[in-house]
Amino acid sequence: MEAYDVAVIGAGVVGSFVARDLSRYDLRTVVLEAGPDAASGASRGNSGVVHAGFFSVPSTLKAEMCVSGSRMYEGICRDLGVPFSRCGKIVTVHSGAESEMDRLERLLVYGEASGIGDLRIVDGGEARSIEPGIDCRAALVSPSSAIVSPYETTIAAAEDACVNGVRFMLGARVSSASREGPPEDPAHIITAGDGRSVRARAVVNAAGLSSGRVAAMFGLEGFTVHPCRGEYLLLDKAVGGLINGMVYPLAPEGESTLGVHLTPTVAGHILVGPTVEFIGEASAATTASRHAEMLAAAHALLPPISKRHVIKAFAGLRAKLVPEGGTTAYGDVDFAVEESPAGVVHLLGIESPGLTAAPALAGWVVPMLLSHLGGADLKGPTDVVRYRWPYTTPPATAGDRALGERAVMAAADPDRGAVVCRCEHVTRADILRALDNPLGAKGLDAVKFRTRARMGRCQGGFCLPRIADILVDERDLHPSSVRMSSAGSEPFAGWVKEGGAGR
Amino acid sequence: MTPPERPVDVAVVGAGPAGIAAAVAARRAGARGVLLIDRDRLGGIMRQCIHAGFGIERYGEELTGPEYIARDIETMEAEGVEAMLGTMVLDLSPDRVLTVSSAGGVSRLRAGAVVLAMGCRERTRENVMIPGTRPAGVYTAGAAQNLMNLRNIMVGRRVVVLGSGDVGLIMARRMVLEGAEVACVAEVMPVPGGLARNVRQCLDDLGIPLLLGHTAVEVRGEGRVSSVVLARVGEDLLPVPGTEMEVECDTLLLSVGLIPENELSSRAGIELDPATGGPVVDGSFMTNVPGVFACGNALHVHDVADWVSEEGAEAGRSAARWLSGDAPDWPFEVAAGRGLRYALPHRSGPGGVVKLRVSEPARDADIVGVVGSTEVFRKRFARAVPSEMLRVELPEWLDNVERLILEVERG
Ligand SMILES: Cc1cc2nc3c(=O)[nH]c(=O)nc-3n(C[C@H](O)[C@H](O)[C@H](O)COP(=O)(O)OP(=O)(O)OC[C@H]3O[C@@H](n4cnc5c(N)ncnc54)[C@H](O)[C@@H]3O)c2cc1C
Ligand SMILES: Cc1cc2nc3c(=O)[nH]c(=O)nc-3n(C[C@H](O)[C@H](O)[C@H](O)COP(=O)(O)OP(=O)(O)OC[C@H]3O[C@@H](n4cnc5c(N)ncnc54)[C@H](O)[C@@H]3O)c2cc1C
Repeated sequence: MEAYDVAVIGAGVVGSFVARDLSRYDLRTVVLEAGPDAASGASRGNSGVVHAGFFSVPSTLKAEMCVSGSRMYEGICRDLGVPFSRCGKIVTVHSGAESEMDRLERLLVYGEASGIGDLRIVDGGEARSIEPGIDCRAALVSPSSAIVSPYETTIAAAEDACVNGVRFMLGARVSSASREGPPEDPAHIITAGDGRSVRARAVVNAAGLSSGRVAAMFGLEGFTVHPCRGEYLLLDKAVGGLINGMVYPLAPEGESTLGVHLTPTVAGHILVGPTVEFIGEASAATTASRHAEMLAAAHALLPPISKRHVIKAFAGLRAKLVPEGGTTAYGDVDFAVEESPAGVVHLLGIESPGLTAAPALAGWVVPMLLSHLGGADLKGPTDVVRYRWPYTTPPATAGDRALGERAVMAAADPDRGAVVCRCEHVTRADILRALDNPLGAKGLDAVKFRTRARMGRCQGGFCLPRIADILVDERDLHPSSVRMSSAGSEPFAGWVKEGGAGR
Repeated sequence: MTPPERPVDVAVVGAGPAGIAAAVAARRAGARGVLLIDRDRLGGIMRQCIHAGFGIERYGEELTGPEYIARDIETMEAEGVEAMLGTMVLDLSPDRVLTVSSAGGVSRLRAGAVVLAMGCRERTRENVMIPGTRPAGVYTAGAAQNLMNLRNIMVGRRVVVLGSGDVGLIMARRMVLEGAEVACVAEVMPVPGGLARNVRQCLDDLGIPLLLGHTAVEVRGEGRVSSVVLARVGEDLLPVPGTEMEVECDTLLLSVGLIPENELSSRAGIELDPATGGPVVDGSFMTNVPGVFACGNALHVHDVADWVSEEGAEAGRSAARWLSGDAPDWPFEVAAGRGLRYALPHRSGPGGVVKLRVSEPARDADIVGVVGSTEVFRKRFARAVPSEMLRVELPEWLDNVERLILEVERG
């Protein structure tokens, strides 16, 4: 059994940022991830918003981590080589009723109390000058709110950690933990469902939806995580230009979430959602009734939006510490960060704004681990290797600069000129690099979440056959052993004619 | 770094039957054309259509897609048309500068005229919003056709086909011939979407059930599709609660419509017709952006490839003519009225040819030309169905007309 200083359970955005920070020290770190890749949970299916922090009640952990996380993001994204856009946000009220104005005012007060200096409330006319497509009575304007690609950021953080020495065990769902050694400095034996186990002196439980169950494995009882599904519709880039930044209609009083809103993506689409639905069993299936709900809400905000603009439907699961009906207003149930026993840190209930808060949470948790492991004796932080720099070829549609960058890249490497995916302009070089990712994540989805191939409007109709060529012809995979993600997700049934030529 | 730039007479985007015909015609009319294609081979969708049924109109014989396009490629080579393979057009500007990317690098072409022939793409599961899980095994029929016919890759063993368009019907048969089981073909409309000939040859002859008035309401399965839930639809085409039935399968093939590919057109500021999904064009197939022409499935979805080739040739000729400064005048607007889904081109003149599609199937339908409120001509069709494009030649004597409306009158 391999021995580590730290074991991180879960490679969502929280676990990945923790691992990345740990990789800066002279420590042996392992990440155990149940899924086939980093970002297999909530960090894959969310709005990708770097919240400024005014939705959270001041002085809570949520507010503090959100505000400081949001300030770290731009620099981190630059270091990771992933897109970041400070597109701004407006929170709109439509009836102009006094109660609505009061609640808008409250957000401003919250924000200011948390130290956000650039918020202001404007009338409908001024809101229109910011978002010409939106008709509202008044709006709270937050220029510093930003967007990222949540899965790319998470994967990039994990890959950065990996090339800097952290070991990743994918497909390792932690199912039990035990202790051995002297009580004052015990080692934890962590075992996955497939029998693999590791020994570690310190542990981080960043298992998202399963964090309550994992906590119990270490003796910390009493945390139940309730899955709460949020569905989304992704709209074609053709309508992406209808908004400049995020548009959030003020959620009804007493809502525990932010309501269906419009969020631009860094790739130029519009994301509609998320809905709210507590579900018994964690399933990211989507439903007809929520599709209709979202379309109606989007259409009410932006009348040109219709069903024909939908290119994708998906869902993410919030990890809530309270069951349905258990919340009163947003922000009132805080993140829980518990160290129990010493050296085992649990992150529980990391729901929105968990993506935003992740780098700050990592910055808070890592010193706890360091002090448990012997603090000042540790070497670091050290110089780091950058993996994704320069990052995936920028989309040519992103303007002259991106085009110039593409030209330079293509001049140096023919694979960077060869475009495989028509919708997102992904090159052969990007695909090859994704296939050889340092985490060792396999399958077509590992390529998809690193390059965006199969994520555009054709959803893979054009590029899937071409990616299949690379796997089958160049990598000599039998068609039936190609996978989307985990075992059981094989898209191909074999050859049409056994013994026939590949092509 | 600014990409290098090269001047060309006519740049043709896409090398399916439309683009190849356009490039050949432009060359024959004296222009030097370049054919740009993102794939490594010429031929577009034709390459994967290995069944017979092409060339009846043009050659009076039944060819397979590859046979059909081979003839055009031969002509093209004989004419000395230059083709840039593996070259993706990333951008088109309103002044006809194309930015292209290939293994040779990123470069620009400054074109005298441009012909857009990018073909179409398929509507996806998401476009028709089928809820449920998102497992492997959901394919658009054309993607499955590509994998099977060009790559020898089998996509599944027990199949439900949604949509009875021609591609769906042909793929249902193909799957059975390759040893798969096709549980059924479900079609939301009360009539099949594809040609009657295809329904007979692809479904009836093989005993594949066709469920008209049915749609898919849920996809199930975690890693791979395990079943699809179908339901009957009412007159509003919405699923009727209580009629759901679960069909076990590992594959869902979608043949739920084609959409002209016009990303480049939008970027160049070309006006699109919501009814066709393709550009608004005049009788020369020129768009609102001067010197930019459109044809084939990028202009409107065709059902017979022969007409695609014809349209491509006309667009190519027009592009060459435009280069030499000769731009015909198209005196009146053409609009689709009652009973028509669309009519094209959007501007025409006396003697012009208009292509149209009806909204509803009809026997003995009259296509009536109306100016103001006066009927000016009519043409009878023994059979008019939405899946088959109709062609009407406009009378030579149409004079002093500003707007011609075409309507359907049932016999
Ligand atoms: C609909 C929705 C919208 C949101 N929008 C935003 C937003 O706009 N901005 C924002 O800041 N936040 C947002 N959030 C919140 C944000 O997505 C989460 O807070 C964040 O992704 C949580 O990251 P995590 O690493 O804690 O969890 P996860 O990403 O869920 O990662 C947990 C990982 O642990 C793994 N795992 C689970 N059990 C085990 C086990 N037993 N052994 C090993 N591994 C295990 C899982 O596979 C998973 O990969 C949103 C959330 C949702 C659901
Ligand atoms: C999936 C499918 C199956 C079909 N099956 C049949 C059938 O069985 N029988 C039948 O009669 N008809 C069939 N058709 C219709 C018939 O194939 C078409 O009418 C005909 O191929 C259209 O020709 P085209 O030249 O307009 O487009 P295409 O043949 O689609 O050619 C367009 C070409 O342009 C390329 N291209 C697109 N964008 C760019 C860009 N930005 N840069 C460079 N190149 C680009 C594409 O890769 C493609 O090769 C089918 C169509 C589809 C989509």
